Amino acid sequence: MLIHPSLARLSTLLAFQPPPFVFVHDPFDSLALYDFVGNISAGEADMQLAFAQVNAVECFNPRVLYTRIVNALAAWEPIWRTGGECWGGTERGQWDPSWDTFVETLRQLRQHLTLNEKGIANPSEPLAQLPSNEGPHFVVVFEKAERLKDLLPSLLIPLTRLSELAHIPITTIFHSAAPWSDVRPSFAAAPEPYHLPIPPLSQPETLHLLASLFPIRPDAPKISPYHSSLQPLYGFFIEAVYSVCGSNIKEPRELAYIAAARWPGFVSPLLEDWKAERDRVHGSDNEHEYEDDVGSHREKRRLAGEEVKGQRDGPDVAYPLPTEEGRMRLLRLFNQTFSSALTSLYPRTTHARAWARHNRATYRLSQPFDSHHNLLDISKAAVSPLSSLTRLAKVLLVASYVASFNPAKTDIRMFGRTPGGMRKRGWRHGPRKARKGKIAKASKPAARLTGPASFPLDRLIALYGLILMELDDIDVETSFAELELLKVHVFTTVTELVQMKLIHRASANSSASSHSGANSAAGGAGEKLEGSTLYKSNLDFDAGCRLAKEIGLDLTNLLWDSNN
Amino acid sequence: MDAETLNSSLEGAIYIPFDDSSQEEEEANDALWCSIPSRDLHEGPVLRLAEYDKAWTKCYARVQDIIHEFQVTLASELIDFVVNSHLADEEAMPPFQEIPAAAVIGDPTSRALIFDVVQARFDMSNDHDNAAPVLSCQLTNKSCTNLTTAVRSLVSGFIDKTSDDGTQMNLDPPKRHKGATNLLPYDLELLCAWYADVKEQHEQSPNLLVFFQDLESMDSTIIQDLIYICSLHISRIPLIFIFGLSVSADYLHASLPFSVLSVLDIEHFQIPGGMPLFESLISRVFLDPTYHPGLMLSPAVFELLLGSYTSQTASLNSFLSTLQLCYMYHFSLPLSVFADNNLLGTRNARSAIKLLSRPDSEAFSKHLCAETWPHIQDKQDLPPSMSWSAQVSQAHALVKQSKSVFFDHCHKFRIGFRVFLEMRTFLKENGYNVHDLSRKFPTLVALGLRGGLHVREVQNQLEFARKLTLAQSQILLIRIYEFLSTPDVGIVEEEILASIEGWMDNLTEITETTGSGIPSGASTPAQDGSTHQRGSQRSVSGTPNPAESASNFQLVQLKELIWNTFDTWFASHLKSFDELPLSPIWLLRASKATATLLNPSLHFTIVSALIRPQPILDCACCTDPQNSLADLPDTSVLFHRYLNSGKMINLYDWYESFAMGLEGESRGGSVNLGSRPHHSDAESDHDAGNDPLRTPRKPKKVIPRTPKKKIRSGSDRDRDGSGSEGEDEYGPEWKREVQARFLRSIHEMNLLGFLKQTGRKKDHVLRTVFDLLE
Repeated sequence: MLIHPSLARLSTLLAFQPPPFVFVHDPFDSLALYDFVGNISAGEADMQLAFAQVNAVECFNPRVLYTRIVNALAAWEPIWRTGGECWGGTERGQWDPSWDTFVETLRQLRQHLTLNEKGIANPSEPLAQLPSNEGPHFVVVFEKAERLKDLLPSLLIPLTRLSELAHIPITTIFHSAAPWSDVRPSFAAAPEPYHLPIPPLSQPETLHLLASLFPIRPDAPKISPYHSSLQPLYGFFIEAVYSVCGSNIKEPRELAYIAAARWPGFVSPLLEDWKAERDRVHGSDNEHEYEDDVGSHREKRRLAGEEVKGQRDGPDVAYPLPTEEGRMRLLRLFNQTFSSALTSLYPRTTHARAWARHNRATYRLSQPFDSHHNLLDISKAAVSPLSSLTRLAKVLLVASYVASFNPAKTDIRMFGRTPGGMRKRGWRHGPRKARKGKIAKASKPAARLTGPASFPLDRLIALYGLILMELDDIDVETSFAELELLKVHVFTTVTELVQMKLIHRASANSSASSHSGANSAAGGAGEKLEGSTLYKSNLDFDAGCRLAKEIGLDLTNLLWDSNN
Repeated sequence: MDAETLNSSLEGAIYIPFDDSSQEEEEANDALWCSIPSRDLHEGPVLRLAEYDKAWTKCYARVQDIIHEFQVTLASELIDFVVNSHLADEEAMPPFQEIPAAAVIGDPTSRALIFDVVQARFDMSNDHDNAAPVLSCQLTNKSCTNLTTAVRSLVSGFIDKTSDDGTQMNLDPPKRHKGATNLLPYDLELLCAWYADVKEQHEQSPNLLVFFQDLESMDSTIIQDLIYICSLHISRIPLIFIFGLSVSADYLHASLPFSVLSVLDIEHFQIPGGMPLFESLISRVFLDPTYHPGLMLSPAVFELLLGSYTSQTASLNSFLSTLQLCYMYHFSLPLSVFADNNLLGTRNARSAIKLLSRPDSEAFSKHLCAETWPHIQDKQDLPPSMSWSAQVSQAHALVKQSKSVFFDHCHKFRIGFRVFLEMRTFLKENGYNVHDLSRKFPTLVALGLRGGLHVREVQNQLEFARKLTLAQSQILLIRIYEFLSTPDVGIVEEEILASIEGWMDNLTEITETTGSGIPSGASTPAQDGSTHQRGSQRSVSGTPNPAESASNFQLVQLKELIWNTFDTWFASHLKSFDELPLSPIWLLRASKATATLLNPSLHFTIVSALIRPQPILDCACCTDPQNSLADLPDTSVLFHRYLNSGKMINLYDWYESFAMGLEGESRGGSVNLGSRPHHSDAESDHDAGNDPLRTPRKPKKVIPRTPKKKIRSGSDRDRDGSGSEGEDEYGPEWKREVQARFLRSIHEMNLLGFLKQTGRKKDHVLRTVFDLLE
């Protein structure tokens, strides 16, 4: 197990002088790949420690939190046959889901553990007789402790003061990405914690950590990306990945993710070479062991279990690791793909397995360089997902974007027409320019920076009509336009787009209140009967441009403030 | 039920039994509607309904089959995904375990169907299946109103499944000790404990599949916490998520934070929809040579379908309802009764003719004769004084004849269209991807149905085909031959098949004689694309040199012959349907009303109903166009005044004018000094009973001395706060009634959105509707 230096400090502290409350501030998620409890329990303690690790998100309810802590401290595994019975069984009766019962149960648990340790199986002994320096010291670790503030706000202060309130030796550790000042309850109600900041991992530390994560499969055949003989090459590979991605990503977890996605492709030229070598030695009739086809390999593993592995590897075949030159060749082949992996995997536009499937290398390392073609051939023709929408929906979305990013009073200037049908002030001339000599109001930020503004349904429909007129679909001047604009499909499409979250409903409505439980669902007090419903566009500029292009318009021409 | 009971103050509730005796007949008549009743047969509606039923059931079944095929493919992919998840593979091993997830993108109806298929597959999986069993549960937005209920429904979704005995993975119910603390039903630890037990008892580790039916409608904050919680236990319980999304997987990125996205391993599954679905529906229902739907699309119907699909709602349901409405409209036309056969519901042709010769079907028969007359071949041979029954029987016989003509042509059209597309694909594959061939499938279908394909598109294609090299021509001919020789097609196309065989022989001869003389000649069909490209370019750029060789000249001649023959072949196959005799019977037609039915204009309907309520109310007294404004319902009266007003309306003035209108009406009405406030006039009772939508009729009670002035003065006094009691017997009552009716109508208009309050003037309202279509 890998030991993180900061956690080693904490474990020493816990072993000798455990503080009641520790706050571990980990802004870079450096501990994600470390075993937290394993690390802090590694110290040589002169007292017995009992650990409980709970996640604040999961323990959204006090009762869940209490049962989790008690079960973990008692190392109690609930089993299904007894209906998931918690520690204590029938002897201690059913808990009342209150703080007092929880604290009482903790005391009982401590007494129980102490007696067990001493070999006294007499639970009837009174609690008060237990000296405070005997018995185990409890350590409760809260992961994602910042979420306690919104999920269990009433328990935040008692949990920080757990040792005072329970009168037993217990340490509360909050592990959080947020700083203590954000988690801290107001009015100094919580004691000041022992503060342990976790710095980002340094380069050698990261490399060491990542290299230690090489997933060696003991049952892997010799020609497999996860055979232990490849570990030296893996170290080299990690260094290469770090040199490309390390400047952008600090989280070791993400670096490991990218490395895991790239590794099978990275070694495959070498494995291909090995395979060719094996075939040469064994003759061509040998069965392929390392299958490219994952499905069939999987099938084989599942059906035949353990039998397929490691039988064909004759001892006479040597599988040499690449020389320095071979490594350089590999690096040159794959260096560019590291950054493409970074751009698609870090934002999770694709996921590791799928990415690895699309980026297989199908050549041998010993092949001449020219034949390695289209390594970066991963960019599929990006089809806009919104292009499957109907034309009506597209026009409405463009109208919603215009309505959200143009001030309402500019509509008439952008789209207004004289009775003759000419535009009053052509938007083709572009938006207003700052006049010379007169300094434009600098205080007003650009529309695109302020985010979408809300607009009423009437304005959306009106803009929809005006955009249709720009497209020469209808003539708004005729009175039949109203007939066209207020059709049922227009309204149903708006509702549909709201459901798809492409348009956001800005005013309170009944569907929003129904989420927040039964009490507000009945009232729907936020609903205003009078006045129009307000909406907001939920598109970004690029999607808006794409949609406008699909219906045959240029979005920048429709925007008042398109330069910003 | 007498009026006394109704008026009694002692009765708390009154039951009015539903009387449907009078309406039954009416409804039956309404249901069987005919667009031209005057020309219909007596039993026409019933017969046509039966025909419609037959035709639509057939078409619907076909559409269902096609959809099912699509869905089964995707469902099996999903099933594979679910079964193969959580098996270790060599591809990539992330340093932490992720939750495998499938994002299924498509419209909600087809999504739900696919989910059902997948779920049914896993629910029914038996022991003989060697795949690991899968347990599934569904989460909807109703079960995810908050985090507690979401986790609870996830946990109970699996646990409850094993408690019934019917399923394959049943467990013994747990023995709970009384008084002990148990894990809570919304604790995932419980699911872990349960899963450990399942594994132990059945010695299998089933994957746990969770469906998120409609992810967009769920609260994203709850979903992200739920996913995060699940990810904490993924090493102990092999969960798999299936997300249902409507538009794109971008929603996942927009709504879930990075910390949640990074615990998922998402694969995308796109449900076929959009234009590909539409194209395959059209081509497989109406343009498939192996299938005959009984009716053919007309260009108008196709454009209606296309328009509503591309611009309004791109869903299967809307496609089906549009098509169904077109079918309904088609079968509302009198002649469509012959769509399937010409027997008119009788046993044989003779009785059908007898039915047609009956005096009550004279109008229909005349219509039929008029339709058939232009298509009777030898009009000279007809004796001038042909009897009526002979004419009818002749027309009747022609129906049968025309049917076979029409159906034959349909078949030929489908074949021709397929060959046309086949050629087009081939030309495009061979580098002729030029502007002339750029028209899309919908445009081609529309053109083809109008009979306009032969004018330009076919000519263009043949022009390119003439430029093909020898080898390419051979491949193209082989392709066409293969298509034409399929069993369903070959019967009618023997002639062209024989000629193709002859040409192929000729081409082979030329190949043999020239050997390598002709560029890229004598090559196998497995030539690679670049040779085609080069060959085609050469033949496009260079004109054949007549001096080159005799065989080359022969080849040019032969190619000319082949494609000229195809020219005539296409001309006969891609003819328009309109020229065929009696085509309206089998050519599906649409009216403008069909589109309006599917996509009505709400606003227009409401406004026109308020301006002219008579057609909507449809009662005897209201249909009289001579009726004055005062006879209209209250809301309508108010609306007329509203239209004449300015931008803002003073409520009091409005009320005044409304009261005046009522007064005018009462003056014009018959004097009835009866003391009952509700008159029992038969006519108005009928009205009130018939139409619930309608504003109750104004009582035609007339106050004997209700001059304008008095009402006014009464209102004035009312404003001042003093009553007008005692001045006349009916005054205050009448005034109260007018006020009540005014208020009610105002609220109705408010509800319909015609009024808008302003903060500035409390007694004024703003108009919201201005320029109206009159």
